[in-house]
Amino acid sequence: MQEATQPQPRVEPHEIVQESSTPEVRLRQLFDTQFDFVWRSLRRLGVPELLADDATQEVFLVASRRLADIEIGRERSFLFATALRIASTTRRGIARRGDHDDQAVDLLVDQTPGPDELADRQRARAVLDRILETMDLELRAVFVLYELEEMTMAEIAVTLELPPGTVASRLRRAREAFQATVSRLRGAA
Amino acid sequence: MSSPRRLKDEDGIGATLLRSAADDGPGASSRRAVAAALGLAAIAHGTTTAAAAASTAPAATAPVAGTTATVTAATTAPAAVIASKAGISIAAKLIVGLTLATGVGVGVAVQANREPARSAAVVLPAEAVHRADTAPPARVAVTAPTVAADPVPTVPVPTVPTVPVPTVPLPMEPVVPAVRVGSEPHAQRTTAPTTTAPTTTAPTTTAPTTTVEPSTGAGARVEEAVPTTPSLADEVAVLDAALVALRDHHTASALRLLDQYDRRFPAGTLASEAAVARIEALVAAGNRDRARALATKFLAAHGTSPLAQRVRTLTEP
Repeated sequence: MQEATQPQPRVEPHEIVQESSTPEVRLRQLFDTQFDFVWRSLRRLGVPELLADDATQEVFLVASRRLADIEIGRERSFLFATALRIASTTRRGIARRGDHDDQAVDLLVDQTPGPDELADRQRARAVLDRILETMDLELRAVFVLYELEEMTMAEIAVTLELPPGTVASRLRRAREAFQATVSRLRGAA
Repeated sequence: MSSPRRLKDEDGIGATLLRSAADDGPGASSRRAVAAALGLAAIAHGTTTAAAAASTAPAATAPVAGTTATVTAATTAPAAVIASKAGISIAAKLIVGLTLATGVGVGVAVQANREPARSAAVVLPAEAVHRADTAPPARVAVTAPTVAADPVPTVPVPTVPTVPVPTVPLPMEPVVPAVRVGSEPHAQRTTAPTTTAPTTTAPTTTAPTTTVEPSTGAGARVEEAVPTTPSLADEVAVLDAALVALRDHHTASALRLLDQYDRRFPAGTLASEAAVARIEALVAAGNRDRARALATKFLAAHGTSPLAQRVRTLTEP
């Protein structure tokens, strides 16, 4: 993990891997350009940091096997969809769905540091993850891509292979859920 | 579709929280480790993929005394492929592998008998789904139970090139009942990505060079991060990873994984198999004295085990 204070540069969609002569080169390019994206996505989809490397490896392993089927220009879509599945599998082993209720949020409120302490970004991130943890994965995916990866809704629609309307409604619901939880935190702080 | 302003550009706690995510990224060591595990390091250094492939191939020049270990290396890989093609759980693959390794079919029977009353119907939901997702031939017969949230890419299913079928009869049918899943209602399935990954990377898949080397310490980290009731599936995952490491001549990794196995499952169902794997790993590592000491201990306790003959063969002078 890097402790840089500057936000890391994001890989923009137009930087997507170009067609290459050999699968090895293509995989390498995919890895070079999308590694950070995949790793970050897995983290924000709930994969603990300790497991993030392994989960990332798993995503690229799937990609390497399915390389011939990944359309040029659709690499991120494929990788994110794969990351979503792997995050889901990983999380299934860690937490039960039942934790995603108000009880979890109450627990969160109890343990959340005050605004001053939030300056500690590492703790802030832990709180962020726990808020995200209270979201359904499908809302969470849209939320992460929009709010953190800064994709446009159109890009998200392409990435998740969803109708634009669905993206918009999921984003709206996700933002409402996020804001509601944050409001509870603020009330408790 | 109108795009709302991003929350992190606003004020307040929510924005602070969201901005904190910017710090979180993989370090250079993560990138290196994963690249190495994927076999991409070789490409980066201009080495041809043949070199990387050679490391995964069950080489006949295994640095293992005796011939049996080579047999193991040569047979377990295709068996894993076949098992994964058939959608059989990793447990089945392991036991197939072990059976081949021991060269005795009774290994399976022993496993099956050890857990006679266990439910045979449950086939590790998480792993089954996982396998359906990742195994190249996605037409496996596994019915993915409930993964509503997972969007399945509409990518066409690749056809897998011919896989060399080992002539050894694969005792798949009697294998599945040995899986102990239904016994613990609260048992959480912990499908650690890495521990399962290696088995899918037999040298015959379409992947260019997917050497998964389970030495990234992943197993150990899984153990610390996911404290759950150990189940047979967990045992299998760790032991399977160790066997794959052994097969690929990553002896140190194999020993680490076996250490992990012993720590997590002190009274494990597959403890004997783990013990034999350790002896084999020690032989491979050139630590024959330690191997012989363990072999003596093993034979004293399990002299009549189907694994005993293998232990004797391994540690023959």
